[in-house]
Amino acid sequence: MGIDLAQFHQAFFDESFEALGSMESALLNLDAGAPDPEAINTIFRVAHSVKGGAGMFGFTEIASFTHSLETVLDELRERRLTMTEGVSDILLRSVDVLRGLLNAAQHQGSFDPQKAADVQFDLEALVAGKADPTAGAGPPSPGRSAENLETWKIEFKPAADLFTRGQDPGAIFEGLAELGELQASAEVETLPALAEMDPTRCYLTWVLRLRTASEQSRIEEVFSWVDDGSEVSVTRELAGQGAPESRSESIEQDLQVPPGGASVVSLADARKAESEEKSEAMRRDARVSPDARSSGNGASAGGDSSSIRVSVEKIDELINTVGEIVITQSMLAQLGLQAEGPAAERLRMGLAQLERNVRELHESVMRVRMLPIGFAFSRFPRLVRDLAHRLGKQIDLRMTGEQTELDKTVLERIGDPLVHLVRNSIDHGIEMPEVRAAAGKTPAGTVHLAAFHRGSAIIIEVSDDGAGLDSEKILAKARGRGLIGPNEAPSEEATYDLIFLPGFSTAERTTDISGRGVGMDVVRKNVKALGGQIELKSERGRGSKFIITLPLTLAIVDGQSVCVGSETYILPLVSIIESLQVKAGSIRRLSTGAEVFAFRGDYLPIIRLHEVFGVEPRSRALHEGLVVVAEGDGQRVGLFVDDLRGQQQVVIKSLETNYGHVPGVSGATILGDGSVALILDLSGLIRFASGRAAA
Amino acid sequence: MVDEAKAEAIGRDMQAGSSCEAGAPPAEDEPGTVEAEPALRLPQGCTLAEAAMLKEQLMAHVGVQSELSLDASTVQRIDAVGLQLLVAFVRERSTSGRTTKWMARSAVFDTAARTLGLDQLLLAEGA
Repeated sequence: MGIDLAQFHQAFFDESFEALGSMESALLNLDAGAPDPEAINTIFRVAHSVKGGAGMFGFTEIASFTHSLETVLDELRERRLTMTEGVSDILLRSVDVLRGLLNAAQHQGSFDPQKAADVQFDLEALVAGKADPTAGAGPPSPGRSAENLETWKIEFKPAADLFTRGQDPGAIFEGLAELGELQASAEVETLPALAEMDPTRCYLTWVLRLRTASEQSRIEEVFSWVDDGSEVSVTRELAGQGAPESRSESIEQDLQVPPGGASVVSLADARKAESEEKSEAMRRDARVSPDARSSGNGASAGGDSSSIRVSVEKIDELINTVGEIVITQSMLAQLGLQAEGPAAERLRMGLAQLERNVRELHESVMRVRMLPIGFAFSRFPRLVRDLAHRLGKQIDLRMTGEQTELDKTVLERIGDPLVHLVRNSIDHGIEMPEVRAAAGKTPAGTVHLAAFHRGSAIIIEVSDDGAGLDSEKILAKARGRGLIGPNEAPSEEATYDLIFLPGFSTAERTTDISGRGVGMDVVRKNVKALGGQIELKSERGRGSKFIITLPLTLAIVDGQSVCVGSETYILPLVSIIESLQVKAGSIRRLSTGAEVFAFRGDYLPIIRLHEVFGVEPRSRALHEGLVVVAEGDGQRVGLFVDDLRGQQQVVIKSLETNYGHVPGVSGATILGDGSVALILDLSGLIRFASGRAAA
Repeated sequence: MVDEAKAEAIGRDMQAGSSCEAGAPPAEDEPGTVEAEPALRLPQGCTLAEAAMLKEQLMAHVGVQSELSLDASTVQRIDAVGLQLLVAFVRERSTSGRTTKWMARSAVFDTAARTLGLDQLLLAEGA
């Protein structure tokens, strides 16, 4: 009987998580002792908006928790409580708890009630303890004296889905009432007959009058979390007149409201005639500056009033369909080549046009899935702060290229490896302040996260100006673990590569931050799983730099088609080193039966694809076909194939979704002639082939 | 519609002297006699979560009885969603010449109506 509110939950969660992100970065930017009042206001609004939404959707735990949080923030805002490192810590922990509670509510899971209760207790203790005379010693809140009082007229026309987005006008007005004396008057012009009403839709609009000493920006900020579809205008009313003034004058003119006589009815009439453009202009004018919303992470920076939220499934469906169109288009192109007759030339021209259009469509759709890497970076200020705190180190975090975009899936999966690298830099790289000072460095170390595009790849660098890698220590450790022979002296590059081996850790003591020996190999594995690579550069005493190279997207791959018998396989171009015809004399057969061939002073194992996949090749003689030298998991092999075909971008179709995992195959694609080709996964292929050889 | 418990609660509120600015009948009668006048008790929760149910309930009363008393004395949760429905209800009854009176309202109800600037609309149109 009731409305299924679950359908509106997603938007609430999305917005709340986003809001918590802003709250966290605003908290991290707060100076203890002299916090920016605007920043505290921003944080307060976030808590208030989450509380309102949680209350509306019946998430009582979240509502109760945010209530306590809001109380503390209010005390801070009114300067009855001083911002200290300790308070900031509790607030940050509150963000964690809120995130946990929201996660639990979203996935119908549970969140450790003790943890929430502990933090809530701390929050309440802060408020209770503020009686401490030293705590509330801040200057009184800025002039609320009678002569500063002004009357503001606020017109609020909410978006129709205000309620279902979890926004409660009551809570907003309560926020206004805190600024001064508020008079609200609702308009019901657009209210339909009860029978026709969608009860969850907002039909009401409001005209509010607020008598306050607060500034316009403060009033506008109360509305900063209101959905973009809502319209808010704030105008100053001169004493005794009520004529609109200053900043929003243009809006008033747009609305054709006679100055001084802005009656409720005429406003409502004017609004009906209001065009989309005008409302857009009005919204822009009345909105709070974008940085109050996004506070630094850049992810949701300004101009967002023209964006919409779309579920990932819908976009993936779209991408799938476009993939199908690409395939159909290449089928048509092949047919077009065979066409004859008077219309053939025109047909081919049309097909060429179609190909261009399809390519553009494909690129546009892929761009929709792209998100700025700022989303992955946004967790680092907090992480760095906490770690530095725990380790007693001083660390400046620099982030550049947050706007660099990459595929959503890649973005989600790169987060954990990045966390590991940053932790590693802080734990092992950056030295203690006194050590740094003794070495003539600044006491505070720098960790730099950078992202940028290079060709069709995205590069993410994690660098620090710490101690750098100690190659002797690495070699000693590697020898001790039998990873290299006692007399082996690998090059510097190869030495650094050792830390990516499973079970390697150079930390003298194991901390719970990094260095449990399960780190770097997992990082490399994850990066490889995304089709990327990781390399390490280091200079003793100067610092280290991890460089991750990732493909822009997982949905298409630059591939080289090779044929074996009647089958075609796609090899990702990134894994190919070169292709060659081997001379019969350069091939050796080992006692195990495995074949190797000489390649630039090395012997590489040969994998015969026809054997792996059980197809009949054109020829079994190695010198009659081609060997493609390719790399996977740091190992090079020669793949024996009949011939090479062209290079092309292919749309990856998952085999797992429709069939199951096939070793050595990462997916499939449909070629222009409609046939299916498997896309090879080099790492898997090498493992599979060596497993077979051993068996 | 009106059961004993309800009548009792109504009576209790009236005895407590709840503010019935909209001209609720004088509370001279015995609690039991309230049953004579049709009354609609609003549910405890009148929020987004209960909106559909509240609408159904109001729909059943919008076109009946020329005089109806609303009892909001037990409303514990109410937001703009619930109040919007009530305004529509009261207004629609008023345009079709039906009167809606307030029998009793909880403090929560009054605060919400005032905060949202709907108190005048709710009360004035009901008269």
